[in-house]
Amino acid sequence: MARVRYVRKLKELRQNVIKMGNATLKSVEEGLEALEASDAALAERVIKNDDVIDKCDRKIESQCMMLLALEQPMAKDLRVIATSLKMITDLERIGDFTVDIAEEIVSMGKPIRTPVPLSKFNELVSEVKSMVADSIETYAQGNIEMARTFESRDDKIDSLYKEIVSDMVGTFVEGQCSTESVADIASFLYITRYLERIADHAVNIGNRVCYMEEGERNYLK
Amino acid sequence: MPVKRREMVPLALLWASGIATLFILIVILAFILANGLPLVNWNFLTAEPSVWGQTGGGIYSTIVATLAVTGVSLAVAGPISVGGAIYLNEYTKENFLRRIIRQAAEILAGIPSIVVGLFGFLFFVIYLAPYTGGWSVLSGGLTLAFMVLPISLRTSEEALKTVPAELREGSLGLGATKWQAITTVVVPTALPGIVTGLILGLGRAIGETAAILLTAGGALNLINSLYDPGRPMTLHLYDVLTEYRDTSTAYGTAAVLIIAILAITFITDWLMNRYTNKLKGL
Amino acid sequence: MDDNVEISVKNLSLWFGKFQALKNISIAIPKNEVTALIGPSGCGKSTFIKTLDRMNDLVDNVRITGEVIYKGRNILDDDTDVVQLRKEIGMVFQKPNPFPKSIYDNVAYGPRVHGIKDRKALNDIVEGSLRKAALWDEVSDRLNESALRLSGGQQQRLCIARLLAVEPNVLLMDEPASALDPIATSKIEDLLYELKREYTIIIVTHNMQQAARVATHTAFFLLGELIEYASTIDLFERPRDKRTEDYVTGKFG
Repeated sequence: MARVRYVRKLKELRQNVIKMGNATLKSVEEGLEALEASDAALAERVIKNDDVIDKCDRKIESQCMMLLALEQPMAKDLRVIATSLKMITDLERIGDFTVDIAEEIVSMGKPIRTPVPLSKFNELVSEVKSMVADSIETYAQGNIEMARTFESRDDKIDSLYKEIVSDMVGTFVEGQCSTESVADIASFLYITRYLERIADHAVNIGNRVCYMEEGERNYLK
Repeated sequence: MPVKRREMVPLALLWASGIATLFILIVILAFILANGLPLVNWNFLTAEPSVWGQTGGGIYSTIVATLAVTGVSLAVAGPISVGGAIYLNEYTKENFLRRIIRQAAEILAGIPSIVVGLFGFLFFVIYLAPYTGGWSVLSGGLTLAFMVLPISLRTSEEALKTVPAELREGSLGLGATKWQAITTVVVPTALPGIVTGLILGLGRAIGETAAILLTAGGALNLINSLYDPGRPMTLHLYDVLTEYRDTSTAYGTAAVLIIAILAITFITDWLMNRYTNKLKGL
Repeated sequence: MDDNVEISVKNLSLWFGKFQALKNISIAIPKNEVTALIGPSGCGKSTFIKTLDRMNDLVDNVRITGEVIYKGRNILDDDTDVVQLRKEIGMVFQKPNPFPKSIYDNVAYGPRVHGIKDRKALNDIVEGSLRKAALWDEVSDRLNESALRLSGGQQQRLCIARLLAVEPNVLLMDEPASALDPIATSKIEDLLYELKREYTIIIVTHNMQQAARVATHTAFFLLGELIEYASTIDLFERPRDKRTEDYVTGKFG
């Protein structure tokens, strides 16, 4: 095997992306745990931990630039680097949305009270969590079968999101909510929106992994 | 870089042998020229040799005879050797026949000149007498051609070999025929080497004595045609020395021979350098 | 035959003695494009392009089977006019090989061997060819100087100009920039880009980045076989064959 150093650097790159993915996943999980438990202290920790993700982002970006500038990668190597370079932006955005969620938790400082049951919302939370976990898994294993399920899972998340929003809007229309709960509902809607966006980025990651593995860019619709 | 001590001894030996070579050359040249040059003047070069039995006299007819035999030998051996070298190098593959021809040229170059002279005597002087005039500068020149041929053949072949294959490919790649490639690119590039080979042959022809002794006749008279017997300078030198002990005429003739060879060598060297530099664009 | 195909090679095999250097190659070379041939040393890519202008004729013990169709004829046929063929399909070599003659005489060489003697016509050809080869501005005031005084990059462009002077259709280039520095190399590459408007160019290169930069199509050769032939972007971004992948990513062997 030729180019030993280069191959090692590529492997390092992939490991760093996975590391960043796991840090992001941990952040998402803790953020959602804080949401469930209304744990402001945990939410603060999530906000602070975002620095780690940002640092990973910058480090991986410079690793990619070095490989591109110095090693003239081709074929799959090129696709791995291109995918990594774009994927870290998705991870970084997921981290940012998690921070946004955590900030809502801190600013509310108490459990969410909504006029409608939270069952749909809880389903959304668990779906998003597993999407993020799976997206990192697809990259780590190059698992395109799993990546291909993302579109339909995202459709489900989108419809959940729409249902939750229309439920909430319905409460406004019906005048069921107090002035106090309007602020809560606004926060809740933000959080729902953030979760939906996180899922979109997970879908992006899945698509990029498909390109990385197969070289086809036809997912671009 | 300082020379290591154990390298000093071989280095000194090599240096000494180089100096010795130069020293021997200088001694010979100085000795001949010191003894011969005082005798060389316009009269010596243009006067006829003394008649039979007397010492002194000029060397005019011998100079003419030398020019004649050398001219004949070059006129015959030059085209054959250059043409042969081109044929061998450009048209034949490196095979058994080619090795045989090259080996034959080598052997031919190594045959003692008196033996070549004997062959020339039997073949040109006796057998082909009706066509060569028997003893004549033509017979002498043809015999010398045998000695010039292998030298200039080998040198020309080497010169052609050093022409890079890329130049041939470049020429053929532009749609030139093989003959065009040879005449417009290969030979002009190899020309300095080819000319050097001819000059080496020329030197051999001018200086040769034994082969001439048996074929050119040795008549003192100025030749009128190539069919006349003549006495080139080398033969004259040998004759006046052995027959009459006329050392001063011998020295004078030797000085003229040496100057002629030196002049030819230096002039062609200079011309070829200019030509090569022009090719290289210097 | 497809109008966009300049040279169509079918089942070409070539042996040097008992060694098979090319194995059943079939490839269609597109007209007015740059096609790059890549592959490790000894993979047959140079041998392949030498077949296209019958330069392998100069080598002993060669046996060739298959077809190379150019202008509707198999150029491997015995009755092919090789001199005319080489006029139409010219080659630029790895090492610049200007003749030890003046710049002018180098460029005028081809036209002269093809019988053009008129001084005015020659002047025009020399100037036009040097301009096309992007060398005119650098040498116009010293056409009578020896070509050997030019720099390596200039010599290579001179060799290209010399080729253009015989008005070929196809330019075969055997690693034309491998002996040049990066600046001279990029000049040659820019030149190729200009030349492909008028000529079909086939370039052998060891430098994959060069192939990627200059060629629209790239063929990967390995051990005398044509492994993969595709658009350059496909070959370098998503090769189909594992061996191509290993070669272009540098993990070969």
